[in-house]
Amino acid sequence: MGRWLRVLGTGGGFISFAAGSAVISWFIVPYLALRHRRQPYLARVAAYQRVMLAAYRSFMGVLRVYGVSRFERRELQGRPPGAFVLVSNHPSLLDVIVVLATVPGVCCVVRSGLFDLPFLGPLLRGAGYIPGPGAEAEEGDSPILDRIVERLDQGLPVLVFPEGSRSPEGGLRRFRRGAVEAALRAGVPILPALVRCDPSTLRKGQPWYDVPDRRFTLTVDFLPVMTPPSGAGSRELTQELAALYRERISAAAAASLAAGEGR
Amino acid sequence: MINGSSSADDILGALRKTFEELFEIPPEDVHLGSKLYEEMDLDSLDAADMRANLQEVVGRSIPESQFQDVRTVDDVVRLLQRVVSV
Repeated sequence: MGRWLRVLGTGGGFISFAAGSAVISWFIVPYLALRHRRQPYLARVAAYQRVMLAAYRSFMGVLRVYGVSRFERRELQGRPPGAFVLVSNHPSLLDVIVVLATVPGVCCVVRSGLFDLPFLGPLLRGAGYIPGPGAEAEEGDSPILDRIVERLDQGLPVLVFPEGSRSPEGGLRRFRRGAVEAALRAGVPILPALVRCDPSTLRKGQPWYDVPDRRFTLTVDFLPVMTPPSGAGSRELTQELAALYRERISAAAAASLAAGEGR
Repeated sequence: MINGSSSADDILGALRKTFEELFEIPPEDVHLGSKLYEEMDLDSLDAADMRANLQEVVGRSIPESQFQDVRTVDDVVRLLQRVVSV
C-alpha cells in the first residue's frame, strides 16, 4: 500500500483512539460506575479492566484494517498468579497498548494530568491506573513508587517501563531501579516483556506522519519470570534485568541482519 | 579521596566518575550547570544512590535534608565542599 495511504491510516488511528476513548469515557464509564458501585474494589477494577482490554485489542484491530501495523497477539504462558511487576522495553508509542492487550488485568502508570480530565479521569481511576510523577517529581521523595507498591499490595499487577521513556532506535536507555524496587518491596515476581517494532516507528520525538517504508509489525515476547531472592538488592537485579534485555535485543538485531543478507 | 583541601575541579572530577559508574553518563556530559533531574534524567532513587556513593567518596555522612535541595551538579559540588570543610 502507498505511503500516503499509511500516513492517512496513521492519522485515522489517532482519531479512532480519541473517538474510542471518548465513547468509553462518556457512555461506558457512567454505566460501569453505576452497575459496580456496591462491589469491592478489586471486582470493580476487574470490570473496568475488561473494557480496557477489549478497547486495546480492538484498537490494534483497527490499525490492522487501516493497513498501518500488524500485531500478532500471543497467549502468555506461565503468568504468575496474583500481583507482579510487568516490565517492558519501550521502542514505540504503541507499546503500552500491545503489552496491555497481551497481558490482561494490568494497571499502568499514566501522566498525572490526565486524571484531572472530567471523563477520562474516572476511567483511569476505575481501572486502577496510577497517576505518574507530577509536581512532586522535583521534591526528591518517591510517592510514585509508594503508589505502585500500594497497587501490588492490593493484588494487582502493574506495568512499569524501567527506561522511564521510549527506547532509542534499536537499543535501550539506562534502566532505573524503581520497577525492581517496587517488586522487592511488595515481594512479588517480575515478568519481563520484550516488545519489538519492525521497522522502527513512532519513537520519541519522531513525528507521527513520518511513517516507515512498509507496514510495521509489533510483537510481544516474554523472558522467564524473575523471582527476586529475599535480601536481593534492586541495583544488582536491575543490572541483571538490563543485561538480559540487551542480550535479547542484540541477538534479535543480529538475526534480522542475517535474514536481510539471506534475502 | 576528597577532603578539605580539594578544589572544585577535583570534586567535579570525582562526581564525573560517580555519574559514570552509577548512571552510565559519559564524563564529558557532566558540567557544573547540568541539571540533575531535568537534563541528566535522574529520579529520586538515583539521588539516594548518589548520596550513598558520595558518602563513601568523602568518608563523611551527608544529611539527607541538605541533599534534597540540590538541583544542579554545581549544587552537589558546593554541598560536598561544605561537608568536607566541617
